[in-house]
Amino acid sequence: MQFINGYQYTTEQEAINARELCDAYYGIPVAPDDVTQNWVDYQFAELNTPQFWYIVFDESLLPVLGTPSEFEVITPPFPY
Amino acid sequence: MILSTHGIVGSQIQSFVGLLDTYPNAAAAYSVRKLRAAYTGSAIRVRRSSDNTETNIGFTALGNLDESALTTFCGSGNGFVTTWYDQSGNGINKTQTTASNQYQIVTSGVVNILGTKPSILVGNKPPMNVTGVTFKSEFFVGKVDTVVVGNYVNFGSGGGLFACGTFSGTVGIGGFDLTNAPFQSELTGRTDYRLRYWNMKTNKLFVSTNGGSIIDLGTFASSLNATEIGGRSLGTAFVLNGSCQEEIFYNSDTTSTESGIKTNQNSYYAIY
Repeated sequence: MQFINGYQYTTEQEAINARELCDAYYGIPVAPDDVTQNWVDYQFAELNTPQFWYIVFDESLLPVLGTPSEFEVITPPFPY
Repeated sequence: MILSTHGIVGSQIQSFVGLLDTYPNAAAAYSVRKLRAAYTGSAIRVRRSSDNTETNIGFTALGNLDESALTTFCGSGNGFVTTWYDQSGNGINKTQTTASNQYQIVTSGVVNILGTKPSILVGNKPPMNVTGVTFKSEFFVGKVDTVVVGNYVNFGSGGGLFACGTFSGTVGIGGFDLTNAPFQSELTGRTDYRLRYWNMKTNKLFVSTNGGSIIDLGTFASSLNATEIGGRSLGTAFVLNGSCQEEIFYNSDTTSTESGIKTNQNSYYAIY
């Protein structure tokens, strides 16, 4: 179990929309052949019930996604 | 005039000899120094924070990372690694397409240094991705800054290797092949600047740190296939919390070359 500070979404499409907002805000990608294609990416809380998608907080996301919240993400015990 | 063993001696230019010239046939090789004379590519591709543009950074004539080009490009801002190029000749470059996940090499206009050489700060960012490196051994030069649950240095569908994994409060170096998780306790020095070595042979995993003896950890896979390097994309507890300067993979038993490769790495980086 990990406590994550970030942004939580109930559907993957909501997470994709949030990612696109960040890309647009920061102008990513700068050039079509750049390696960098997204400003931020989302992750899937596969082991949680119900499952959800989330973006981990970074200060650069504040002006785009607003104030983050804290939530729990279940991870398997190491090393599994 | 003598500049170096791979510079100008008298009026003659001696040829550059890299680690992979002496110890060839790596499965993949990533470094902040040039590793092979015939390698003509760049070391890394960098995104600068000022405007998010990217450029390739190569080596000096002596085979060091071109820090001057790096700081000129980044100015007073930060620089992040989008690609760490494979110098083995196999083209298995490590990439990170998400800006917030990219490892940092320049901070406020200053190149990150570990020991005396440039260093890539992995932090606790998700791993970089590769198409797949099948390997039996790995030589890792870097540092673990924080002992977390995992500190994986690579992972793939068959498992991965970790630098400072934590089992019920015991911290150690080892591996996980989806069945076995052998590890050797690291009681001291685990957050020191270190050369870590893993070798899979006869279905066992062997490890060592710095110039220490090789330790048989017991049953393990005969090889692994890494698709993530610098951690395991299972959350921040499973990624490498530290820095890296060089990672060399071989898909062969390196028992006979282990000592020479370590000596080469230690001569350059002055780790121990």
